[in-house]
Amino acid sequence: MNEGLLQRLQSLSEAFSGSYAQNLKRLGNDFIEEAAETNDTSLARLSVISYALYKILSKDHFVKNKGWGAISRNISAELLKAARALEKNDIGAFARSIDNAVKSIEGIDDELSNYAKNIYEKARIKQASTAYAAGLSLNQAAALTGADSKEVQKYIGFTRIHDEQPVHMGIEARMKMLRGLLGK
Amino acid sequence: MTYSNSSAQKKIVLDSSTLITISDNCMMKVMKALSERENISFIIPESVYAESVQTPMKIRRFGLNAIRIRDAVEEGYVKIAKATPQTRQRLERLEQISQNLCTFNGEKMILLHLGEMETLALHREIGADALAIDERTTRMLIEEPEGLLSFLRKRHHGKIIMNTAQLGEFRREYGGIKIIRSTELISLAYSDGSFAEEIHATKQALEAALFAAKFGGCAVSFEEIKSYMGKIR
Repeated sequence: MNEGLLQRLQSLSEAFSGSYAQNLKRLGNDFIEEAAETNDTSLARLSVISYALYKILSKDHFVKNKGWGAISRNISAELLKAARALEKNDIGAFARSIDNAVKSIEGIDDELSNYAKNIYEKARIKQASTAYAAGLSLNQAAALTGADSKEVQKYIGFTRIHDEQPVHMGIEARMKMLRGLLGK
Repeated sequence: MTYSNSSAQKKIVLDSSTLITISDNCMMKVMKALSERENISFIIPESVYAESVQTPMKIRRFGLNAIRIRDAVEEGYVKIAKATPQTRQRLERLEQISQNLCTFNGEKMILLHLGEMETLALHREIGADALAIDERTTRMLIEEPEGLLSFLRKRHHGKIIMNTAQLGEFRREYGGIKIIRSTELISLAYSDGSFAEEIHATKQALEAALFAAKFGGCAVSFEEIKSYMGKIR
């Protein structure tokens, strides 16, 4: 049994059942950092789910919608099933329940939202950008969450990630090198 | 396929990150002019073509960009390099190095993806003159692995180790690669007149293009752009 993954899934499940949006956001961030460290795609998936659920719980037009109760119960039930499957070391059943939870989240776009689209896809991109900020390459970070690398690149462009490290070789120095290369 | 028409022609391998920044900002015609004026052959691996053209062509949102890149390949100023047995062999070795390069609390921490590794393997195989890559981690691993290690150690709460033997082999093979980004291609185009293919070559336009590259995800800082623009007349 993967104790670490089970504990994290249980934390996610509890935070969602209690509607603790900020806890979900924190868990999503913790999970993606860990997933980047260990190249754990299952944990990355839990991270994306946590972040997507945080976004949903933060929006009144979702949670006050009359359809939300049924969807929410369905997500909780699938997370519980996934945890039970992990306890039994049944990786196939775990993956199926997580798939079902993701389908429910993706379905929210169609059923409840007039404003936000692709909440799950956006969560994939956001969490991949965090994995990139944590040191993975662009394509490695995108692959970890299953996000499109072009979308991740664009998202990163609007963050301060590339302003956080000291400049090793600026534009001028690289231009000098390039001009030298071209014999100019 | 040969990549050099004359001994003076320079070969620059493009990573998908740079190709996307350039095409997203409608700078492909500028690349064409650069290729002609500077006698540069821009080369991409097959996988980058698939990722930048074949897959996005099926998605409405990305279709226009994919067409721009496809046109560049058809017009011949961006060339596709087919994988050879030698490139594949080089890639296999690079994958082994990458998988054993870094550990976090004793577990493998894999920093690079096959996509970036293919670009590196191609660069070495064809003896390219420079690599254009807009993403940060691959660039840091090539140019300043100690800086990357220091950054990883600050960022993560655990024991991060780089295997010195693997790093040594990586450095021997890839450490000397000259790296540029879309920002340098834009700056070169501004200075040699290629910029005019897309936009009037004014200082304001250069600054706007550099910021467009940054906001498109090129690993360049505000400080770098500000410092560079301060020296442009």
